Amino acid sequence: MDTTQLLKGVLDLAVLAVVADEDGYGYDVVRRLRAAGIEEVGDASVYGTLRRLYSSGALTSYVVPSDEGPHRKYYGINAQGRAMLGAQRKDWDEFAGTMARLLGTEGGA
Amino acid sequence: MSIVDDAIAQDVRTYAAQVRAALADLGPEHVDDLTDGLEANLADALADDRRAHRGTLADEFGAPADYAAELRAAAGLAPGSGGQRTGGAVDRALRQLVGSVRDIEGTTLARLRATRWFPGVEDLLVALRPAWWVLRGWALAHLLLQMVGAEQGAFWLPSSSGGWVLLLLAVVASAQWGRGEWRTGPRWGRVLRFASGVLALAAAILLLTLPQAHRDDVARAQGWGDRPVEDGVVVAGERAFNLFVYDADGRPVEGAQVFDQAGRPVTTEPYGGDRWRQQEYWPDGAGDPLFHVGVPGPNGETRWNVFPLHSVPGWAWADSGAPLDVTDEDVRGEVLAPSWPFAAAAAVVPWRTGPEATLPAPAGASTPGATPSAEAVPPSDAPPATDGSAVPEPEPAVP
Repeated sequence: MDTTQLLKGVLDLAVLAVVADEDGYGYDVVRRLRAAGIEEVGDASVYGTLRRLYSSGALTSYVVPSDEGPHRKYYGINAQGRAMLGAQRKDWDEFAGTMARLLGTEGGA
Repeated sequence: MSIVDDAIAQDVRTYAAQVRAALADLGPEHVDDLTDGLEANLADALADDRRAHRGTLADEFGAPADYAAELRAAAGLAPGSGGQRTGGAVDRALRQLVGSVRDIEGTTLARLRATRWFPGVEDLLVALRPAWWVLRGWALAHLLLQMVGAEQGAFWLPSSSGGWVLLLLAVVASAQWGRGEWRTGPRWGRVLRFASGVLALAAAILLLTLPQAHRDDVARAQGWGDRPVEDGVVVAGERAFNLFVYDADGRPVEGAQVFDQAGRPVTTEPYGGDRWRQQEYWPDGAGDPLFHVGVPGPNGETRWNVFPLHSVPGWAWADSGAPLDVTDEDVRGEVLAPSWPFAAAAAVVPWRTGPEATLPAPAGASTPGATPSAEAVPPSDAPPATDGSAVPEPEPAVP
């Protein structure tokens, strides 16, 4: 199964979870997603998702100047983002539970 | 920086420029927004040792156009939305300003979030957002109503049903937008955000100024009600313009001085002597108004509580409106006597219980009874009307 398709629906949730864990800048978020086992996601998808979540008010953004190289734009979660994360996590848990039951029943039959 | 690093940096710049070119149809603001930090991200990815590197940047990240498409799709921006924008110098400067303000905002927010107390406050503020939506709608309705002039003075709530409908619509619109029920394009989103900022300012100003404006209005309204009643005599709800005194036997009394219980002169002409404020009378068929005139009192003053008041024609006044010199023979020659309502009133039997006992001591300076009345001679010796009619005539009728 192509996990890229599966990931599309839950990339927001994954990005929110990563940023909720700790503020991060663009590639930092990509790296942490990969480290968590989400390998298939494209860099650009993560950056676009970060921008969209920021635009919708779920994330905050601030610039940290760097002595060497360009400045880094950090993203942090805010109250609205946490609320979104909570709601999506609940949805995911229910959905995952449903799928697990469905597949378990199918497998057992 | 080594030559290799330089070459990589150049590659990164080229790749980033190609990605930006592929996004150009979004308009410069979105391109900046989406690709801010793109170079840094690309460089970071290239520098990541845990990543399997594949040669050129195009091999590593895919074709710039594909990378751009992925970025755009993930950011939820439709291809081509926003259109081409030329982006003049002012526009760029403005965008830079907005960008730096946002950066400052972001850094400040991050610092605040690092404090112990702010997260709690922020959660509370987020919970209070519906109140802000209502306030924003109220401010919008308020501004609209004021713009069309539908409301007079300071108001908290509209007074008309149309105003209420507008208020309701504004609050619903504000809340729906606040809840994210409206999908707007980027341009409308900006307009609405700007409007929201303006409304926040308006709401703050209204909340600060309305209570005072309201108090002023109330004070003004009370001022009308509490305005001191001017001097005068009221009979059956109408002002009496002149008084006619008859003695106990019912005979007219000329030059009767009238005082109240405190010895204050009673007058029907509160603005007596003031050419422009004094009441003017237009007898039937007259081409010139009449004015009541006071009588000369002691020390050159004009007394207005000596009844019945006589009249002079308007032209007797100097053009300057200076008070009439009632001792001037020319003026005295113009004085007209009023018509008495009846030649004689019915006789009455007055109380005779020792008037001396009720009179104040003659030493009292303001005692009317003790004042020599020699100076208060009626200015005219015109006899009372003798038509014998007991029907009150509209006064002052000119003989």
